[in-house]
Amino acid sequence: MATIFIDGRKIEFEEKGKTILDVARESGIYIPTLCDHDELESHGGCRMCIVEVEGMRGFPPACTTAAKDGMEVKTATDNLMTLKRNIMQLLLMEHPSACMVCAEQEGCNKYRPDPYKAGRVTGCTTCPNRYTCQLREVVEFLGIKDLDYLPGYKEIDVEREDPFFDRDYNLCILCARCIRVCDDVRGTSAITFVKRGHETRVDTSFGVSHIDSGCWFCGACIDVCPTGSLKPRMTKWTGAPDSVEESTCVLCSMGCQTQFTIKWERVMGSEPGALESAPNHGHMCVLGRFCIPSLVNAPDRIKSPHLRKEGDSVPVSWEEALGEVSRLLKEASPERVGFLGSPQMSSESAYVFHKLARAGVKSPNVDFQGSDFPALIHKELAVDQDFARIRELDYLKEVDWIISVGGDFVKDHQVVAKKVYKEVRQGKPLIVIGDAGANLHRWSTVHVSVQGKDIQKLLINLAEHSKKIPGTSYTQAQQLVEITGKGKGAVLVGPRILESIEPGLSLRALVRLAGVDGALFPLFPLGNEAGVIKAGLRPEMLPGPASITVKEAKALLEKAWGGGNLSDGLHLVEMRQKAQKGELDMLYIADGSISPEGFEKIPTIIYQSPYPSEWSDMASVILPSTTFVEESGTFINLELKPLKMKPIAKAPGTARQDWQIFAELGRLIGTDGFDHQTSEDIWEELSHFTRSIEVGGQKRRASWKPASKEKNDWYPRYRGAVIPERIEDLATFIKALPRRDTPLSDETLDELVKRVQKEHASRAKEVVS
Amino acid sequence: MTESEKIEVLVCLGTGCESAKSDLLYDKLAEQVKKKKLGDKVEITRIGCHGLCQQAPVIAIEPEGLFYCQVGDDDIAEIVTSHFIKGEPVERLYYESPEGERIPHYKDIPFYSKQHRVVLKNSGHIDPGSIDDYLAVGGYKGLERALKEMSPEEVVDEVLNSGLRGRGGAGFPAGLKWKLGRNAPGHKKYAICNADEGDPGAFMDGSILVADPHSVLEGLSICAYAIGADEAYVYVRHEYPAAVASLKKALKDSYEREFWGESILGSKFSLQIHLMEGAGAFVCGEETALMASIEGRRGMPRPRPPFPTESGLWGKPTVINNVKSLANASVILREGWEWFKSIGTEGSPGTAIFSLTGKVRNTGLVEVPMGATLRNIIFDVGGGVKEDRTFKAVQTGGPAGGCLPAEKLDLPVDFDSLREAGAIMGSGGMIVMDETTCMVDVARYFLSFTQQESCGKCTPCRMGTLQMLRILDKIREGRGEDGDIEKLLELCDTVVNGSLCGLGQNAPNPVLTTIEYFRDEYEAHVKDNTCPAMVCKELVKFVIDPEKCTACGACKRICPTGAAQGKKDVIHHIQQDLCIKCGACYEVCPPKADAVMKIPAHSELAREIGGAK
Ligand SMILES: Cc1cc2nc3c(=O)[nH]c(=O)nc-3n(C[C@H](O)[C@H](O)[C@H](O)COP(=O)(O)O)c2cc1C
Ligand code: SF4
Ligand code: SF4
Ligand code: SF4
Ligand code: SF4
Ligand code: FES
Repeated sequence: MATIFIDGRKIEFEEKGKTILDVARESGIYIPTLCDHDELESHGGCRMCIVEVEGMRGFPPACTTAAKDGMEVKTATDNLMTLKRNIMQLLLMEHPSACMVCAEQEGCNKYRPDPYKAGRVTGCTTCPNRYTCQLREVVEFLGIKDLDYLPGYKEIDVEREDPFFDRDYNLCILCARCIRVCDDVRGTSAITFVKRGHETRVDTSFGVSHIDSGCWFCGACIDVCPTGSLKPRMTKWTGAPDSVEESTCVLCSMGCQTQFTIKWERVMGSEPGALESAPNHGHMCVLGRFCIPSLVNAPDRIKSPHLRKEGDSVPVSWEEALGEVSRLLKEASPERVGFLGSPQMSSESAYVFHKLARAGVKSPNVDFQGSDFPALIHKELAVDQDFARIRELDYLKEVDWIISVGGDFVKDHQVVAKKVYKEVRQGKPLIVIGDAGANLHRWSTVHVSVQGKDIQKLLINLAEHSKKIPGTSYTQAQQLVEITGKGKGAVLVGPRILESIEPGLSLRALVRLAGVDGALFPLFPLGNEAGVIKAGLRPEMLPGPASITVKEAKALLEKAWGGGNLSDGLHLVEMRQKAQKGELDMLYIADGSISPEGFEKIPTIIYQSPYPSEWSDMASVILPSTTFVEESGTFINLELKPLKMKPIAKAPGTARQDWQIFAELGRLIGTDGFDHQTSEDIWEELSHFTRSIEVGGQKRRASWKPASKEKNDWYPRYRGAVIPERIEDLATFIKALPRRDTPLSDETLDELVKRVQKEHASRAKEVVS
Repeated sequence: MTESEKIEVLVCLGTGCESAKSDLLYDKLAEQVKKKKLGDKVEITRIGCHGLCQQAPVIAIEPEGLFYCQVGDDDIAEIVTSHFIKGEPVERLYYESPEGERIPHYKDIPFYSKQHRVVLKNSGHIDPGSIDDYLAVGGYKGLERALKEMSPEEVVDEVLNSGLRGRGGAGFPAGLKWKLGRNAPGHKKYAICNADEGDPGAFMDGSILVADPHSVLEGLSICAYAIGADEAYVYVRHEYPAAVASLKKALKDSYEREFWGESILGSKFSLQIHLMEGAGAFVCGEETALMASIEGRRGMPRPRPPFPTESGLWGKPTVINNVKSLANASVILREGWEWFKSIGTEGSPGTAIFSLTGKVRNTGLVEVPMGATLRNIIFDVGGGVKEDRTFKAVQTGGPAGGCLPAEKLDLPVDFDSLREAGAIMGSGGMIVMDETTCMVDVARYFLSFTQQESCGKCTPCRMGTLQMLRILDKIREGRGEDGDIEKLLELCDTVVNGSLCGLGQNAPNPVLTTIEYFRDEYEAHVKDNTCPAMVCKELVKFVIDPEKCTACGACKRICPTGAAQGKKDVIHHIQQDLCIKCGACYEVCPPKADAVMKIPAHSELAREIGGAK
């Protein structure tokens, strides 16, 4: 323990790497700061935290000066306070500051009137950051009541051309938090300081658009900005929310803890949860950060059940609709009914759906889109010791190297990417096999662009530490063997591993490569794949998940469900084949994202979703269900951690939670065991079944296909809603990806500058002629 | 004919001479020598800056030590026929003293005889492109001695004992820095040569790199050996193509002779040297910004501590030294610390190098022992103020340095005395100003440079300098108010104490010193609305004395706005509302009339003459 005196107070602290600011904060001493941020390395730019240290020259900033034993620090001498006030006055020369010195401030803070737009110059209600302005907090602390200098605003045009967020650098105080988070934390470096002197400002290099600068629209810059410079367009002017609720985003398998701002019982905005909050620790991706409100508030959400009467789909009551569905289900011949769930429903809903199929209708034909990949993971890691390799992402810290196979995780798992970059930045080697966009090109130690079938051979040889590695140069192979030969590894594996001839062998090779203490992170692309697999929604599986071939598991389930059809059934591809032959009479589909191609001949389709889709036109019955912000349930993320989804917004019309609909149908059919009252009940029931899988044996069923329409393997959907089709900004962004992600040339900076100049010159010529 | 009798012609290609087209002289000389078949009697060599840039382009003839000044294109033929063939030097090209005396040998010219050249010893005397020339004058002997006879610790001690202080500005003891670097824990360390030299008007480092690059590389190798670095960088300005070229050649030659690379001179010491061209921002000369720039980030300073010796390039212990510091280190290792310590003062041993510019008779590169007075430099070496005007002030230390008045002329020049007087040694710019200079204007000029070059990271520097500039403009334009000077002083205090790096911390120096030493001039602007030096446009008026005007019409012809008016045989006048105060009429009015007058805009006289239309 070391001792430090701050403003005469004696404080004991651990000397290891702490700054004066750290120690002061720990003991509740307030030192004003602007450029400092918990997540960022200290910067020392704003000068608000300067202190006096006995025996040190000048005024060192508390945020960069290491606390040392015996130091005597003063934080608020007259001298310091005057200096800080003077510096703040200089900062306020440029920052629209009417609100800092406004006589109405008190009332304004209390009643928070909705914005009435005054001119930009006054900067009062034009700032979207009024309620949480960190600049104003410091101004108040310093007791500044009036301005010393004539204001001279920057008069920069607000940047509105890029998707999702506006940038009003008139409000910027150049704290560089945005730049640092983008560079050091997200590893993207889309923005930087440009120009010098008082013209210094934040911009992209060469002033290109954010899209072209490589920005991922992760929103991290917005979340660290202490002023109102950066704000999502969508939520900029909605004013103070009625409440803020934390829940889980399900748009990919990360399961980000998200703070939803709620107003009028609707989701108005979404921001990452606190820095401490696992698994995403204060970060999100473009989908979660910017797309949720538009998605869940979509005006075309299905609002009531529909029945097809004389060819037209007409709204009916729940009673009528469910009566009809239960009649249809009871009358159908079980073997000729298919049940397709969704990887974006809650684990509980998937479980009740499964039970409805096998125990209620006695049909074993259950599946969901994308189930091959989670099934593969479960089967190949069936041995406990292997399964234990799926760990929490924080384990990335412990490994010695990282390998990524089967997809560009920067694109479809931005938050995983952020965690990987943290390690890469500290020099941990990253091997990328297959796809790599601009970020991975920059981050990777070795990149082998082998695709598809060759991956298998590569991985197997690598696991044998053989230097004969297809698709690599001699030095690359040597590097690969050297890196993976030492210590323990982390494997990030995406669904394109299914392109191997025997995906199981590829996966097993990876498991061996990582070592016993290694880690494996399956990057499920859609959402709750792990949860739906836990519910066992596969023809050859039972809840747990368990294999239908494992007798004990089967017996346990039989007892719990009081029977049911627990044999093997049809999976998605087989259902489609049967349907084409006219051998499937009925389909109960709860995922509009599955292509209806091949299912046209089915006479009876029951479509359940929050969103209309191509299926709506084919369905005899449409049942409106809720989205993830309107339901309660459990989401299991890629670390296999259960995360809670909470009903924080009101569903439109009479939409019901999926599990409620399934349970009601079970009761109507007359099967026992459907009297669930809450999702917690269901979760408890599901928890009785444990993993009990027979090793291996995953066959290649269908080739793994990218979901995209435009040759983009990342084209996010949610239960039938194609998100980029609904959100134009997202479409603009996704469209730009292939262009941005073509590997950077090895053009030097000089060459680049020359080329850009030449292009400008020729463009100028064109304009002239 | 033996080697020693050969005439060696040294054509200066330093910055000053090169801009006076000395490269053409070289070509022409070579052509003539070839034509006249003097090849084996005359040898022409390009040299770096010889020092007396005022007389550019210059040519030195060795071994006699003759010196031709302001050599023109058409003088070449005469030099060749008369001097080289007939053996009769061209006396009219000798240096002419202010008294009108022709001085044949450069060593007799006061500019040279009053200097003490240690670092610049080879400059202008050896061919910088020839490593053999450097070896012939004892080059790399210092490195050899270090590697073969001394442990790294002994090298550190040698520099420590010499008392050498960093020549990059702050004057931090080089030996101490090396010791800190040596003692810093870790295997990987770096040595960096700071050759950014971004001060406008300073060209010492660039000149040394062009004239004597090996002396710097030798110092860098010695430094790396002493601190235990196996990698070193030379960070040089991109805008110095000659220095870059010279360094490249020197690096290649010295590598071939094993002065760096694997197992230097057969020892166990290996060193890689990289050359890095900087993008030319002034702030990139600041050590932490420089390292950020090498790492590929924007050149922005970061707070110290941690100091580079603890955590520098890529977070590893790093010693960064200025070009001149390293060149001095080579000399110290060659000649020994006792010798070095005998030069200069107790607190600042060795010499000081300045680029002497401004209103001084002999501009150029000057090296004097530390402790020489400003008077020694400006009057003895520099030959005094140009055109016999009165000395008013001297600015030392570049744009962030201070202005010292005539009372300080006897101030000894060393790190501490300058600092005490409010100026700094800085990187060694020295600008002489005469009575025609307005100190408010000068302060504004320097401040506008630092203001523009501020990296923008910290508020006091970025915004404080801007606000100071605004106030200075107000004062210059006659809109000054009571309290403005105090406000300026307060801002200076905020910027000095609040800024992160040396740029901001020193930027107010020109303002602080001009207020301290020339406060009456500020007050004249503010209180009386006059610019005593008659520089500030808004505070002067051009008027025509009707008694003297000869109606020659010169002013009318040159006036760009039509403010100067009149007709043939009618006395001219200046219509004040059209006048933009360019002063063209003032310059053009023939001396015998001398009718255009520059007068204080708000004076009695102005009302009398100027007021009447
Ligand atoms: C704004 C600024 C510019 C600087 N520019 C230079 C420079 O051009 N050359 C230089 O050697 N040192 C420069 N310095 C000083 C360096 O930061 C550093 O102190 C020096 O390189 C250390 O070398 P020395 O100990 O040999 O003097 C500059 C400092 C500041 C604050
Ligand atoms: S949104 Fe993300 S990627 Fe884009 S600039 Fe901000 S931090 Fe960088
Ligand atoms: S935009 Fe925000 S985070 Fe970025 S520098 Fe400006 S104030 Fe700081
Ligand atoms: S990373 Fe996944 S969970 Fe997180 S915000 Fe994005 S889509 Fe949602
Ligand atoms: S003092 Fe000026 S140059 Fe130095 S860090 Fe601050 S803004 Fe940049
Ligand atoms: S918080 Fe320390 S300088 Fe900004």
